[in-house]
Amino acid sequence: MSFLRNPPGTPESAFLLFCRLVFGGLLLLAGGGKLMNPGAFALAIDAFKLPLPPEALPVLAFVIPWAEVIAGALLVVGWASREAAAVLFAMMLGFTGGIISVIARDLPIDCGCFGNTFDGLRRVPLLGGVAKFLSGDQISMTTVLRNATFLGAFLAVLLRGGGRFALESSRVSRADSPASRDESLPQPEAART
Amino acid sequence: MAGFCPYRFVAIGFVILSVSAVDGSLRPVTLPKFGEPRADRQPLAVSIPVSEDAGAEPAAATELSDDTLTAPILRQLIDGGSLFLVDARIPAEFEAGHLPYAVNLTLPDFLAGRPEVLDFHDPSTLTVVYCGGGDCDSSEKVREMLESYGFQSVLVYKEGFPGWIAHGGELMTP
Repeated sequence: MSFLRNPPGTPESAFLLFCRLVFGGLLLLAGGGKLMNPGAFALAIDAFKLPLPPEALPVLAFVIPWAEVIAGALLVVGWASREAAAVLFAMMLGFTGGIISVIARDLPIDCGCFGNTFDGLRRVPLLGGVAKFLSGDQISMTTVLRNATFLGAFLAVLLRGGGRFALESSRVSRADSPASRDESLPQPEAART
Repeated sequence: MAGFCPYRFVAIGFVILSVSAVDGSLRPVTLPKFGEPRADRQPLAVSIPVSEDAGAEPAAATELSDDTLTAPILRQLIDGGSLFLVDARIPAEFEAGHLPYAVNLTLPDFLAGRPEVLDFHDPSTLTVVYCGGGDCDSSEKVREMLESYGFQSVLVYKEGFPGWIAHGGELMTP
């Protein structure tokens, strides 16, 4: 597991950038789509027929989309990448559990995972297929496969950070730069004693 | 390289909860409450228009219930023209193809109040709601919402969209 302690190189950072931009960006869009109509999203949660009190539905209808928007935006810009990825990883685990339970109970329902975000793309050639994969008509094993892809991407960022192209990385590298550790520069009094 | 910071993780969670609380208080969501489907529904006296090519026995008036509403009868009602047909499936499914002259009306459409499309239909008109067939319960819920707006002659086509396809029914796209 020593590779986890080494900072990511350029190819790995490029992969992490891809994970952050694509999967963080998709979650950002998904959250935005749900926030357009929180009532519809509350009904989508209700359709899962999970053992939740009715009062929890309106709360979740705001918390889940805002978590997607805020954590997705953090992931895209690359600030607090690991923590944002942890939030999204935990949420995606919960979603996947719910989806598997729907498949096990054979409920013919719509996922509601992306709200109406990609409805406009369904008729566009090529993009329509992507839109259908992302916001498929009905929950199926394809939905689980899609979520597994998201889980893998978030886990990669959680374990390895945002990479050297992340906003946080530029701050860290400035702090760790040789110039900042140059002993020829005047040191604080406490450091010399 | 910055490691995982639990304090930052908690701070992000706090921001998410705070923003959600503010947004939720500014535009609260009130969901309709649905009970079990009513078992005491009486059959409706319906005049089924005679259709020459429907292949069914013409009937001037008959009693229809959810259980007796079949695809051939529904086809005759659609051909007759005096029917408000509601597709309760999600918009993406509706756009892919729907029963002729159906209007897409899903549960979320009722969250903002009375949908405008209801203004164009007489509440006494025979209304048929369908969804994806099988265990889908959106038809029942949409029927309850329609009844709450004064539509009293509402039937659910239980076989739904798959039943219509199985009977070779024609489809329309928006």
